[in-house]
Amino acid sequence: MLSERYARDLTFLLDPKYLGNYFSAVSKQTLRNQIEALRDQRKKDKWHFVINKAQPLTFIENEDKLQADISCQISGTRDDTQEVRTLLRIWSSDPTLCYRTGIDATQVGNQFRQTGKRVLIRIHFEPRRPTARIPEPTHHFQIGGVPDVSEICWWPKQIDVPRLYYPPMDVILLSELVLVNLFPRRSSNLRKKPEWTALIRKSQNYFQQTFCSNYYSFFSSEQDTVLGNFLL
Amino acid sequence: MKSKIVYIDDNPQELEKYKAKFASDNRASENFHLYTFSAPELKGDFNRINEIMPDIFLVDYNFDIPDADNNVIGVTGITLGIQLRQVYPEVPIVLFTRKSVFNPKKAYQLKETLSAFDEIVYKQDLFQADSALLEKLTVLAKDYRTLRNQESKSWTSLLKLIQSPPNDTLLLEQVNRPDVSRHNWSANTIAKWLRNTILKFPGIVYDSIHAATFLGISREAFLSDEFQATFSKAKYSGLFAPSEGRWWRSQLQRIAYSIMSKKEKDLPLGIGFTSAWGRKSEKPIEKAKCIYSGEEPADWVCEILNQPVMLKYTLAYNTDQRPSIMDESRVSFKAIRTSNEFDPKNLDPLGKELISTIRSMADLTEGTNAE
Repeated sequence: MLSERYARDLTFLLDPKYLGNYFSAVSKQTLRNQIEALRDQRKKDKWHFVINKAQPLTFIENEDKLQADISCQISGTRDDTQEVRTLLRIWSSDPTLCYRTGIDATQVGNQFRQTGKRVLIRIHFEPRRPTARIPEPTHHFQIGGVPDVSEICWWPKQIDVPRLYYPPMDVILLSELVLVNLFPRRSSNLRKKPEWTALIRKSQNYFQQTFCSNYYSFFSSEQDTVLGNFLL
Repeated sequence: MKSKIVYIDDNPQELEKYKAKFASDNRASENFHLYTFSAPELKGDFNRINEIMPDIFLVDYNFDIPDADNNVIGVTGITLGIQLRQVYPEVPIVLFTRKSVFNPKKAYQLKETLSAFDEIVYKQDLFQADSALLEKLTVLAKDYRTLRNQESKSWTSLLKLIQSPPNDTLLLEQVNRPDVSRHNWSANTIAKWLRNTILKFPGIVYDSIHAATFLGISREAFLSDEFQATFSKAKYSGLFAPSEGRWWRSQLQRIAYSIMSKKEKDLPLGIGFTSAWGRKSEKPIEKAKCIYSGEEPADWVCEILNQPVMLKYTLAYNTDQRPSIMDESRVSFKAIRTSNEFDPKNLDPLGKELISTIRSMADLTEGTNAE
């Protein structure tokens, strides 16, 4: 069962040799609990792995006072993945990045001073919505979404475009993305290690194989463009 | 000042033999006074030894020869060592035996009890012309004495004795720091911490192969006179400094950075430094070559082959209890494929999954001069 193998892979994230030292203590507890919940589903045909946005997997702050968190809803049946929805948020505690005196509303400044951080960017990686009003690629990412009040991140609800075709991203693949972008130097040795690259490749195989083989067949298709094919 | 060695052995011929050797060998006679004891005399009575105030003990392993009264002491050197350690926590104790009698690799179950000893020295090796063992015993006796005689036994005094650079004090605190909160230490506790942790595992100080690879250069280049002159301030010269040398990692980096340009500092240290050194000396320096692929500069050291290797061609290899702050122990693909010493049991679960792939990979060393 994929759920069992995936639970095992996720466990390595807790190890200080891999990501153990990159996560906050609370996040490690959260991840451990959700891994246990996933393991409990090993005998079921359908499985779910959820990290709630209210209790996300939070990385430590980097040197630029940027902090990433990840939440997800991943489901599958037996040896397949079905739906992979993940959210990556980048927070900042740097006042110069979060509030522009004389430009931003005082209320935003007050709110920021209370919480000490705000979301600078939020990216959804998700499958196409069946009820979408405009055509969406089968798998895509979208900047924005619907922020919580605590994020102090205004994004007009009406602006839910563009949706750029992109392979599904699970927690492990998003963690790699965070390391490369927020901890490029600190994580450089980890990212060279064969054990780490093997872990990433497993997630690529579980979650991105179909998308990537589709991409290559779409690329050589003479019937339509790559984007056009992803919209079909 | 000569150090006083107390040598305990139940074999009178051995006692005589080594008394003569210590007297006739210049290196030994210049540094040591030897006092011999046959083991049975030790029974319950340390008075004579107390009067000598020894600087170091040499203890034989086998005590099965009866004395003049036909008594056998009935203990091994290990038991005697533990007894001595309890009475003399301020004096180094060396197990002095023969390879044919005692092999610590086979006696792995004795690991805990062997902790009473500071060193195991084989009798046949001690007076070899090219052996550094006599120097090792000299340092052991001298530096234990320094710890013993130190008036202020505080953490700050210890840092001074090991001549720790300011940047390393925080790191040293994080590595199972010995308890000196009552401004008192046992020399044995400090010696063990320094010798079995700080100087043993690469991380805070490096031996020559780790230091060279850290800088991206070959060991030969690192040990060259020109290079050592530039990096002399990085050399560890504190207590129990091994004769083969150790270098503070932080100081290697500081000196390397001092000759690197801003652009070079943005690169991985091995790449940036080799470029900077080539610019400074106007000739290229021999780089650390990966033992598996021949790529340069290699950025890690294979735990088994003790040779430079690219980190991407290694797996974590857990053979010891080193603190997490130290450099991770990793084994090269080359050792995995060729060394009899390699044991897959020491890999972590992700590493174990990769073994068959590594063994079936094409040999990257073919056609290179990595050997």
